[in-house]
Amino acid sequence: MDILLSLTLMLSAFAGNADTGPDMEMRDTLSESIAVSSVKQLLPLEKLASPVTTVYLTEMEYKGLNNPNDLSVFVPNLFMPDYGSSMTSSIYMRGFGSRIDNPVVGFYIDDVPVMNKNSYDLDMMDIRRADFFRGPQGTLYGRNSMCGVLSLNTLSPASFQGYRAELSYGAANEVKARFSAYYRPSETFGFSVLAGYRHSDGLYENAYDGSKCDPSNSLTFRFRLDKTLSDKVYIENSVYSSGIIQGGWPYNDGRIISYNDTCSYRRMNFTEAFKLKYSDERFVLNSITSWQFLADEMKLDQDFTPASMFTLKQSQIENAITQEFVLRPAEPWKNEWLDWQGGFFGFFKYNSMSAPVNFKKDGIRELILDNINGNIPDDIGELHFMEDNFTIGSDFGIATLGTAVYGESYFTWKRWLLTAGVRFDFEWTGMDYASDGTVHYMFVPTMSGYRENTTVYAGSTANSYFEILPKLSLMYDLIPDKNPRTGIKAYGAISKGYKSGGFNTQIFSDILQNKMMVSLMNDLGVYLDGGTDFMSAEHTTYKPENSWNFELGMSFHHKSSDGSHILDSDLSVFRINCVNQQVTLFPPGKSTGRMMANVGKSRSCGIEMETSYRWKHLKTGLSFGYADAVFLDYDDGNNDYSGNRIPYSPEYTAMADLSYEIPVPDCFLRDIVLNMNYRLCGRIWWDDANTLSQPAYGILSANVVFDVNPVKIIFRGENLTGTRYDLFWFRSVGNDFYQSGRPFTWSVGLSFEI
Amino acid sequence: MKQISMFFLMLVTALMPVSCSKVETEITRESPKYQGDMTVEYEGSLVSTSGVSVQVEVNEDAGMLDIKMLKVKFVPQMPVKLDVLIPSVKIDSKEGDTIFFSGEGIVPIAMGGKFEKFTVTGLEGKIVNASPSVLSFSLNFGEYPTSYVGTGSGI
Repeated sequence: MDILLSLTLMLSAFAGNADTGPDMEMRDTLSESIAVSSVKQLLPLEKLASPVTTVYLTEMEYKGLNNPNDLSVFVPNLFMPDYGSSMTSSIYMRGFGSRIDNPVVGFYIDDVPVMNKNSYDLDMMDIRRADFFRGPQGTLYGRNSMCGVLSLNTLSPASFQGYRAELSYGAANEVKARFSAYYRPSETFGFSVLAGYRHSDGLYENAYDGSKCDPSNSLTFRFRLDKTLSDKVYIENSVYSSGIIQGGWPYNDGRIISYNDTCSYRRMNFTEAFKLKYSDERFVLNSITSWQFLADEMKLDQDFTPASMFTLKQSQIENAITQEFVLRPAEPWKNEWLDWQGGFFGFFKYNSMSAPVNFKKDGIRELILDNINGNIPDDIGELHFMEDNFTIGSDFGIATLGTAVYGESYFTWKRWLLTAGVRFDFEWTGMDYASDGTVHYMFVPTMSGYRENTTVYAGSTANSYFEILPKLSLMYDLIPDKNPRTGIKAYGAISKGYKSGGFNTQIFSDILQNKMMVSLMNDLGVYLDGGTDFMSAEHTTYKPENSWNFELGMSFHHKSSDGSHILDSDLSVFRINCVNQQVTLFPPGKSTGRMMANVGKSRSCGIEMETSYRWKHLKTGLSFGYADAVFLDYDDGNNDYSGNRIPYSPEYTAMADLSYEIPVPDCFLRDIVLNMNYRLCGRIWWDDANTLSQPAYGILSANVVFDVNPVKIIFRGENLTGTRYDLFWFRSVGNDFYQSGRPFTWSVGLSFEI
Repeated sequence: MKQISMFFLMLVTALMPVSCSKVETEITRESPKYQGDMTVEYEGSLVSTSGVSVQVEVNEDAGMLDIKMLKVKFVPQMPVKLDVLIPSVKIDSKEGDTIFFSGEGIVPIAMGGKFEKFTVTGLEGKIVNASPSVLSFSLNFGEYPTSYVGTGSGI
């Protein structure tokens, strides 16, 4: 407490008098918010021609939504399976998504874009609100927001002052602890600090040695400061840092998890974000600057079996700098019928990665030597390697530079609202690569000694893309006279989105394997007839994925005159046409890597609905999303998958939520809140051929909160019926693997707020 | 990987190598190279292949030369191409710009070993050092009569 007091006194030196500050946030509470505080969302939510799902802090904490993955299925047509490790953030929205490389959903924290998908899986603590903007958001958010944007706003000292803490314990010896303090010494200055810790022993057992394969420890730290420097200038500075050490990848073969080599993931993130708002009588200019640092290391038993076949150790360091300017007119400059905003966004990031694949004795024998020698008669001879393990090294340096200008205008005429916007987005990316491998081989009995063969595959490649992302929407307010209690709006929207292209770094070990074998044969004076480039540099790149989204929707809001009944509902239908869709492929044969390829055309048609109803102490919520996402034109050269469903994304999602608050008058216990929710996930096809699938499944969860002000006691149970289901499937070295979903888990916790 | 294992199957079926030791060769990348046509008598038919490269390294002091046929596919059915070395061919005589050579019972070398089944017999040939230089020879690879004519920069 003394430290905090000292910090308060020191930082109070920055306090001063001013008339302006973060005025929008002062009206918010922690369980609902009047306005979105993102600098780019000029319009209130009810005027957006795009469905939005919003979750507030209280709901997140009651329901244990600790991670962006937990929003899966809560948001219609959103599927974010929690598998692998915190490195894996596979996001599927309206049938589209990706498991590796770039996402289809952008992720923003306090208006700062998270530049690496490896950082998406984080502990959400003191998140004031999470807004999921569904549908393409390319005009305002640019790259990788093809199917939506998840925007988190952290709690700020402008909206809350005091202390918050949490301590909980649950299944798998999971411990969560959080403490945060929010100060506002004056109207013009505030700061906050947060520290959090989470531990889990792990849920899944590795049968090979009886240990848990997914233990986890993570730390989170956040510091935020805001100051109004003058009546024109407001600044805000935030520092986020987190670290995680965990196991992971609990993949089973359909029966058990059993692998012998280490699987682990370590990550450290650091973000420094500086925001400045300048406002005068003519315009308001927002500047958002960030520096993002990521360092992580993944170790993987790539065969996921007890055999010593091959392992991967991938480590990377990435630095990214982003800068965004957003300009909009101040009130005196606005017309009654016209509002607008314009912006500039630029970024640069450099990623240095090392990803050596180590072939061990069983892998050398089974993947290489047995394969070759099995076709050579015994009396002729056989190929031997001197090594019982060798490494194919792969190093990469990837630079990415992007710049964009955009603008959006809002025309209001009577009950009509027309939104028109466009974004010009340019991106350049270059990669230096160097892979190498050395083996000592001998063809017995032809050769009398081992001969060394070294293969090197090095070079550079670059790509650039220029995208024009337009958006047009029309909204009509069906209720005249601006009835404040009832609102019905209808809208139509057309917009374009894109997902950046990139490089198939994971395929390099396969490329070098094949080149090593070709080099070895050439060393013996043997040359394959026809091409020897099974995979080559041209397979290392893939193009951006582009989509056009057509959407019609309606929203309804009604509040009774006494305020006891509140009904909100929105319904939308959409069609997304996608070209150059990026699909994760496994290279042919017993391969070690994955690659992204542009496979042709696809489309998704669907419907989304969200309804919430409140009556006195009762609150209900329903959401439903259906997406018929299929390949229109996809032939990989061996099979034609046209007409098949796009894999890894559920056919539909549904959620039903029921809460009841029981006030307890004249008691130390203020109230009791009961909540149950049921999440249903439709069938998920695992493969392009649609031969393997996970049937539809449902998860029932509940929580009970005893409010003993200022302390809350929270009991929570997830997957109460112990539903068994799989979240993920893949094939590696000819074996099928699955990750099971989380079993029944429980937790009990105390939270404190004063 | 599938292609690699298939190649070994067909290679073994086609060539049946038997050898005991690794043999050094004098042929280097800098050895004179000829480009020309090769004809093989296979199952009663003449199979011609154009664009076949052959390197020759002459050691006049020793009275020997080495002939290396590069990435050669003797018949269309072969799934792979081979480097085949015919070592230690005797230089018979030199008349002006022309070198005459011959050989009998020479075991060719490929894949790091000797291929007894394709022992060279009846080898006769000559190199005419003109501009361009012309290499021509005929031989029997085992039971398969083969001939070659090519041009190059000369020795």
